[in-house]
Amino acid sequence: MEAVEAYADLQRSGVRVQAPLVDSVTCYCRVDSSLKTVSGARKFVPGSKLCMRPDIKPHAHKSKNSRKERNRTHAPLLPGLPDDLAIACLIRVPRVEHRKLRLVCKRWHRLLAGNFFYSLRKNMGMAEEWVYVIKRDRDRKISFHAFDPIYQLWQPLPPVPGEYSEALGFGCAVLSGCHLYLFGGRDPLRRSMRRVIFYSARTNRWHRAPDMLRKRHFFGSCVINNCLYVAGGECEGIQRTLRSAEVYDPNKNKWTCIAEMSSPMVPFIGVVYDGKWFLKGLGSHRQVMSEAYLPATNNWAPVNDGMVAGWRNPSISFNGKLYASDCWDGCKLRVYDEVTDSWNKSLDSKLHLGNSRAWEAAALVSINGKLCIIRNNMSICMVDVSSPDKHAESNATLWENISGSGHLMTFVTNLWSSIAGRNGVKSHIVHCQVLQA
Amino acid sequence: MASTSNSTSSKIITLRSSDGEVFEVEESVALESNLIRRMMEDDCANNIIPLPNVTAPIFYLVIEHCKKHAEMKDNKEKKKELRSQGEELLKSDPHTYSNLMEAVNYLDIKSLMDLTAQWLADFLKGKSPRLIRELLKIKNDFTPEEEAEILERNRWAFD
Repeated sequence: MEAVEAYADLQRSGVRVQAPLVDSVTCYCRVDSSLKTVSGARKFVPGSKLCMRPDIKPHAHKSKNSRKERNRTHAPLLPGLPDDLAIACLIRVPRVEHRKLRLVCKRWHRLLAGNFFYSLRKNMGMAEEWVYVIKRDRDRKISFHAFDPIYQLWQPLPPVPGEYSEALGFGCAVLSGCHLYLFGGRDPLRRSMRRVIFYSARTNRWHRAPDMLRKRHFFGSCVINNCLYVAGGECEGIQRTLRSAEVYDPNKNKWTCIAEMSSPMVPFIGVVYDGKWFLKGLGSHRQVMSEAYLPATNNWAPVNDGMVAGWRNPSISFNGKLYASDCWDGCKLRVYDEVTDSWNKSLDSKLHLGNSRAWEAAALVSINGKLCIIRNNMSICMVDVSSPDKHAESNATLWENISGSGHLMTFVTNLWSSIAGRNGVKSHIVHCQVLQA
Repeated sequence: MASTSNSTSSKIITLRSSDGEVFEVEESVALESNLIRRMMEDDCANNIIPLPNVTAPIFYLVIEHCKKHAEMKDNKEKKKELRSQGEELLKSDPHTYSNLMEAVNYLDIKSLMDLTAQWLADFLKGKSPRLIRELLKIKNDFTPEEEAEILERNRWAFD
């Protein structure tokens, strides 16, 4: 994790990074001089050292416009306060206010779009988790939304780049806690894609990452040890289903092939549980099949146990346990029990909401240590599954709605779509993830 | 932080501010400051401890807040009250706020550092960028084009 490494770097250089008590002489020049652009931000990834030592003069980092640079180091973040104290204050401002703070002045803008600021927030335990939803609207266009569970507000986001605006069968995963990746998929025009892009919750922008080695859509993906794995799926132009699999390591910024699956598959469900990546999908003869990948030994093996038999979408591996929706609207969850190799336990909210497409539970995510059920109508329900309550199985008070259905944006788009014509395509959630910043 | 201070709470520590004023402070209060604690560990407790970076009026404020903070430990109401005081101070006297924060940082008092930093964070909440600049005397160094570009790129609503 880059933040951890940056933190370790700071400690090695003997600088205190506890925000409340900071060194007034610490030099933050590197933060200013290198984080203004996207390419600058990339320089700042793991391994790179922060210039934090007071014995290095800010002017040592001279660039082409050194006069500008100097002026910048001289203007304080907050008049009257040393910068480190100003930063100690600013990292405490809730994330919901950050976009506004970026508009105050150039230095705030640079500070609040940088890894330094957000690594500090993370190390201080001040990073906040938001839910990110990728949705296909009735006009078949992909839209992108974020939800702040603390202030219970939906936040506007920069639109998904063009190549994904109508894509099908693409993957979505989170690396490093703050980068949301979209990869592969099928564009109606460009057919299967190799493309990889990511949205950074720190810069609030989309960036490019290296393309996958193979074009694919409707494949499986997962994250293990901050590496992104993809496997199987289809490829336009080739009649058969894919067996191949590959992995992306953000530290090396490179894709590499891994062992092929024992048989080709178009996965429709996947999870990382017990150190293994489980995939269930359709084989080349449309038969349902399951495989598990073990990263340590780099091999695949077919699975046929009670876990895959009773496993259905949406599901999540949370605090070492497997949960899956047991009801269309996610009002009931089932839990996998390893001992009996069955999904015989459950958690029930005792409140069934409906069987329409709108109330369909689209995803399960973990947020602030709780499990969240996100439905197609953008309503979000939080369950405290770790409650020590003996009657947790049937205790409805552990369930809490944090976002009602149809916030304004959805309401308007849905209304517009229904006026535009009911062509059978309803808006629904394609992917759902959680990002920290 | 003050766990060791209970047994000797009656002991009085003498401190001298940068402008020469002498303060007598209970040890339990003085030990909230990691700086003073370190100085005492280095065995200068029998003498007057000099604080060359803190003026008397600011030191009064620090002690006052240290005491308040100790009082409100289990009192949510007081905690709220103390947290809301930052708004007034930042509006009426940002200069004193800066001095207080620097003194707290110099004296290395964690609880007050958290408090004063939170004051500013709370102060920024719900205020427009323009108002923040005005109140904190920050110069808007964006050109109108740059500002428009950032607004356009982020496309979020402002009041």
